[in-house]
Amino acid sequence: MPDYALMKRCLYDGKAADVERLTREALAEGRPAGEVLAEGLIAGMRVVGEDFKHNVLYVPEVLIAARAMKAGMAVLKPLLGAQGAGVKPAGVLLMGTVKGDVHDIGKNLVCMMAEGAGFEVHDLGVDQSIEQFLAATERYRPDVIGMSAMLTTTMPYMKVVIDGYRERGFGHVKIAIGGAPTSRTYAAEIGADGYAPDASGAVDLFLRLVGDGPVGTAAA
Amino acid sequence: MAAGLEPGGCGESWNLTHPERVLAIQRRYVEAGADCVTTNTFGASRLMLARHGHAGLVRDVNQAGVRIAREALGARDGWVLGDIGPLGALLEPYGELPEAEARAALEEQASALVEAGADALIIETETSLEETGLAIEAARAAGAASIIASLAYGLSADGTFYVTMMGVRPGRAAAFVAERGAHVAGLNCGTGVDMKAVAAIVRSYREHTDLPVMGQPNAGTPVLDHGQVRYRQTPEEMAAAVPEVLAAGAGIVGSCCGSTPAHTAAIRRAVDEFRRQGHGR
Repeated sequence: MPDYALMKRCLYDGKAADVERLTREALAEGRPAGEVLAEGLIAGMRVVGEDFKHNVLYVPEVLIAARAMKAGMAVLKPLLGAQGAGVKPAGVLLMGTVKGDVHDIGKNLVCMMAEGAGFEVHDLGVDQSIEQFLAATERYRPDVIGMSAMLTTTMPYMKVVIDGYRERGFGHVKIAIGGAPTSRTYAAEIGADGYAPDASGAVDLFLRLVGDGPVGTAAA
Repeated sequence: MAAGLEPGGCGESWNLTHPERVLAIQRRYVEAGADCVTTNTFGASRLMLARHGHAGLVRDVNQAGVRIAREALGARDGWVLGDIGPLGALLEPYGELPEAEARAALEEQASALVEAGADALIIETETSLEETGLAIEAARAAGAASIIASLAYGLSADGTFYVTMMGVRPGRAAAFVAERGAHVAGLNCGTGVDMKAVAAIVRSYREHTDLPVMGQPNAGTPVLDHGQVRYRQTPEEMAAAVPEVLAAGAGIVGSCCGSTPAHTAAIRRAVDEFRRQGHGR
């Protein structure tokens, strides 16, 4: 049995080379890629997310841990997609900062943490119009859209996107919002499916919105 | 925004394209009683301007910003604060912004502001000590006569302390900016940080530095009102906590997001009243 506790510790401490090595060793022992992902990487990121939420860790530590997670993920990725691997992502997530807004530090953090929770993440970047969100939705068929805005002046555009989705028959796609000026009340007012105050909460929200994907529950 | 800036548009480039509108806005704050006018250059570093396709305009935008603020002050005795905001990216090794690139961008903006005659530079809304330190060094290299270093805090999850998103607490920040050679330790903006919270943070600063302290909170937290985003704290509500901030030891007090000339006027009255009662200088 691989030492998942050690792998989680190394991930928490941001030791990318160690996480990569332990991932390879676990595979060499014959453990399935899905198990290594769930018991090692995702479980490790969950601890990071919890501590981030409670002011034990801050953005720098989370970013370093996410980099370690990615080092392990790079080893697993070719195997996870393979036929018969039996591993499905927790869900497909489409992320973007809304039109007119060029802020992306928080959004990028959410992308990394969502990946660490087993989501297939497609990051559109900043300054995204409703047309761009819709085109990417047709292309990637996401379960959840995560929209970000940093300014009180750009957050109203979130409603434009939500209304656009409802009007064009994409009402089944869940839409979550976040960013400094947004709030739970605002999310409710514009008809979003959810709001999270931080990156860790965003991942919890995405998991709730997809009804907890198979990978998300595996290590619970 | 009320003057017609499109959502998310590059407000700093208005220094060149609509200087009369920027001037009109800043004049209202001077008329309301402000002693310091901060230049409209928060996002006028090369890195931020590049996001709007204006990377080549750093000098022009910053120098115009100083000219406009000076004109807004007019005959009033006051100071032009050359504004430097965050670079909008995280420094290596956490993010992907190389230190040398950040340093170059900060030095370029700082020297443009100083050359145009800013009385002081205000480095604000910072969250990491690394970027704050680089900006202070850039301001010193540019020969700034006075350097204000201001950080943005948020309330912790359990509501018991204030900290920046990068994990910096007020006491540590105050000691750090003093050690790096800033002349004023400040705090501005932030989440869940109103005028009352400023008083608490100023007290933390006071325990760690003898530098003058400056506080510029938001007018409360934004709420949605009929589809429009509004900050709900009235000028009177905001100004009510000003005496506490001054008593805590702040030497400069102002306001950030959501505030209006009416907030500045209310703060002015509160400061004057505080002095009349024999406090302060």
